Amino acid sequence: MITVEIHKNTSGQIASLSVSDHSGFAEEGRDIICAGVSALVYTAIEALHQICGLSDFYRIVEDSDGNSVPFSTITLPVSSLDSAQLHSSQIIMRTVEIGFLLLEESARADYGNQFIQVTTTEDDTLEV
Amino acid sequence: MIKMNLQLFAHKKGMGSTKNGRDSASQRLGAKKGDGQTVIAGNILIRQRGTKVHPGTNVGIGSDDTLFSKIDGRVKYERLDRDRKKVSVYPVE
Repeated sequence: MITVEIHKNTSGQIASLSVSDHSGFAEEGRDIICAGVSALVYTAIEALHQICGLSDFYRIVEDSDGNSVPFSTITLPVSSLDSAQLHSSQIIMRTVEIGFLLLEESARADYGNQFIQVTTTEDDTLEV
Repeated sequence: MIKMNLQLFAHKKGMGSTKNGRDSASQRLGAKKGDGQTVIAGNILIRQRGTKVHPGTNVGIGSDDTLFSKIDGRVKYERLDRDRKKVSVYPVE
């Protein structure tokens, strides 16, 4: 099951996003849930880079040997962003969050609960 | 621009579509230690269903027919009789 964890600070800003594990829906090349998740992750990364000018804010680890757990993380340096970067990065992250929630809802309705889980946590230790 | 891998979170080796729903997890059976390998007491030598290989000297058998070493030593595959095999563990001198 793909696990999507969205971490918000106490101001409600999305500070980080992590996605891990296999969906298990189908084999490589036919996994439409994985494709949806991957597209959202890559869109977020490229948008944060192109629109907000961020760099060194993400990590992607592929399952290159078929025996590992793939994961990706996006961590926003929220406190060091200027107001324009913060505004646009939050729109991007919020859009991606909505995308993940829609994907989770659709996958559950059409295929079952076992492929993707999205959780949102509020953490007061994250920078505001 | 970053290259998009649409199958980043897909299994690399054929899991089959879950619509089939008839695939089962492998039982991970087979020899875990080969002839001549050194083992310590408690090491599993063979996981099997039934006694494809019988326990020999210093080898115990579990309730699921798993063979394990009772001592530290070296693995030796031997004949039990004309048709059957056994595995023993002998102490290293």
